[in-house]
Order: sequence, then structure tokens, then C-alpha cells
Amino acid sequence: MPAFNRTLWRLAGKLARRLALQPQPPVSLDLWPDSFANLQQLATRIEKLAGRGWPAALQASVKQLRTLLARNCQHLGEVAEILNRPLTSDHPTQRFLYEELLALADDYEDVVYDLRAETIEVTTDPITLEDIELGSFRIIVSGKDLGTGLFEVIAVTPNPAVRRSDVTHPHVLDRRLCEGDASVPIQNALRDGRLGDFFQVVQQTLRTYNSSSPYISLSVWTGTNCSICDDSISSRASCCDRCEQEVCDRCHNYCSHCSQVSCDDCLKTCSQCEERSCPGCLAACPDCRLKYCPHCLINQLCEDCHAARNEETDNEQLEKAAPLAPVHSDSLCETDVPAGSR
Amino acid sequence: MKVLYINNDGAGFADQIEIEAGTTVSKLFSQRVAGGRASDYLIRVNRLPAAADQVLQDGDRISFTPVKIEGA
Repeated sequence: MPAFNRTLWRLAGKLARRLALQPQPPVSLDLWPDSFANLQQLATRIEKLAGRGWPAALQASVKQLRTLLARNCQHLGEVAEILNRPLTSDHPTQRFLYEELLALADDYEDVVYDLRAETIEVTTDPITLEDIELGSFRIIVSGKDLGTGLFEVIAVTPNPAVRRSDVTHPHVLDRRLCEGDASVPIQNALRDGRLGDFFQVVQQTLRTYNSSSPYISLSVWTGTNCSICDDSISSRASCCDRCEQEVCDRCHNYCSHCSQVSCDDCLKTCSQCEERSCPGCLAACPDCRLKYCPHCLINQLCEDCHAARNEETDNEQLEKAAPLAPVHSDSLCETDVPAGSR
Repeated sequence: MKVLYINNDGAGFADQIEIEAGTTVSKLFSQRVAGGRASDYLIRVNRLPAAADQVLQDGDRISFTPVKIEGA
């Protein structure tokens, strides 16, 4: 039996008083009355359809009712599950909290209590995820925040993501853990004063990597390689707006027309001025099929094709302007027409 | 007899539950965590790591905490 610790006892008292002021968590028992009204309506309809002997309509309605019934059964099961849990909780006593505080020393080598600030701080063992050493983390919770569920996670020897110094863990941004599945257990543990459970849940969350929603993926934690030249990118990489590949400073460029960030591979050259443009800004001349930037197109044609068309038009106009055959009019309504044209 | 059962998985709640005398840690685990594997959980009785065959006593506090909890 450990010796009585007066400081911990006083801290437990402070925490107990804080938690006693917390309201009970809200309970929601929605039984979906509208959905049950729909069920009854559908059931009545099926009864009528069966009586009339309309098999196709009956089959469709039965299918619909089965789906609705399954959904409602699942929901009722979830409500029943809520009823299996305590709907109210007693506020933890000073003794309970004292025992929780004492037990932390068995789980963690480094536990710090601050009576004045009402904070409890534990340090995890070093954490390594997918061969990346992230170091130990200090988890700090304050008695003042027990009701709000706020706490801090601070890297002791930070090994942040290369691209963001405030991301010290794939699920920690600016000292805040993005709790995910741990959210409800953390809230409940803090509300119940189960400090040991709270620290354990946070620690296990820090030991787990969820590759589907990290702030920064571990695959690019220490940087990434340029998709063009394959050189390591140690600083902030650029992402090509078109192919979304990450490229280094040397291989990234801008479209000279829309200023979109593009990798060298995605930029194409205008067939006339040879400026580098993204494919979206280049258009094919319909006559020669070569691609040009907007500055080099005249009425959607390249300069050469435009000139050629102008030349053709000029020739046509000249031909039209020149008389083809003499026309003699004998009266207002008659004209000589060459033989064979009717 | 009654024990305080703490489930730190999913809903993460604590509740007093009634169990039969002689119930072991592994038996309660299979009753409460359907389809779960004990090796995927940190199991504690009265705040201390527990063996699978440990028989629970009246007033014990037992907690199941998943080894892996996914943050977001």
C-alpha cells in the first residue's frame, strides 16, 4: 500500500469539485415515429394489393417494406444498445480520483502533477510508426478542461513531418490529437474521472496509424521524391495542378497563360512562339492540327492558316467581282440564258 | 455479484454489471466483446494487467481497451 500523498489527495479534491459541476450528458432516444408511420402505410398497401391480385406491384411493395423493416430493426437495436448503458453517471469521488492519480505512477515512468494549475501530465514511451521514430509524447490534461474534453499532446523530442513543423504525429496538429474512434471513450473517461483509461486510450491512439486520414501521411513524412527527376524533395514540394504529382523546384513551372502550377511533363510548347503552356490553354488549329497558345491564334486559326484562308477569300472575291458572261436584258422579266442550262 | 465493467471500445462506457460467481476474465471477454480477440485488447482488473484465467471477484473493476484505436 503506497504512503498517503497529501498533494495528490488535494488535487483529487479539486478535480472532484470540478467534475461535480459538470451536467449529465444528453440522452437521445429517437424511435423514428415518421418511419414507423411509413411502415404502416406500406403494410396497408400490401394488404390491398394482395386482395386485388396485382403481383408486380405487390412484389415491389414487399421488397420496399423488407428494406424499411431491416433499417428500422437496426435502428431499434441501436436504441436498445443505448438502454443497456448507464444513462446517468455518478460524479467521481475524491477517493476514486485519488486512486486514479496514484495508479498512474504504475503505468508511466514520468508523471507530473501540478496542484496549482490542476494539471496532470504523463509521458508515453517512444512511439515508432511504420519505422518512423516519432519519439515520446507528453499528454497533458487540466482539471479545468475535464468537462470540455480538451487536452494537449506535445512531442518531447519532435520529429515533425518535413513539410509541416506543427504536425508531430500523423494525427496530431498543433498539440491537438484528432481523436477519431477514440473521441467517445476519451470524453466518457474524462467525464467519469477515469484518468487511467483516458491516458491509456490516448496512448493507444498515438500508437496507431490510420493511413486513411492522417494530417500528413507517413509515406511522405521525411519528404518525397520528385516524380520527374526522382531527386529527394526535402523542402515544400509543389504539386502539379494537372497530374497531381509532386515535383521539385527545378521541375515545377507555371503555365504562361493561366499561371497554373504544372510539372515539366504536363507543359507543352506552342507551335509558334514556343512558350510553355498547360494543355488546357493550348488549342489545335482546325486546318493544320498543330497546337498553339491563345496569343498565337487568330479567329481560332494559326497565323499561317489564317493568312492562307484570307488569301483564299481574297481570290474568291476577285473571282466573284470579275464578269463571267455578258447578260443582255430585253425586258424587265426576261434574260438570255445560255443553251443547255435548263 | 457485481463488477464495474469498462469498455473503452466504441462507445467507451463504464457500468456496474451482474456476473455469475466464478466468471473468469476470458469468459467475460467472450460474453461482452463478441467476435473480438483478447490479444487485440489491453485487459485490466483493478487497474492492473490481468491473466485470462483470473477469476473475477465481487466489486472488481475490469476494463477492455483496444490495442489499436484509429485517430483521424
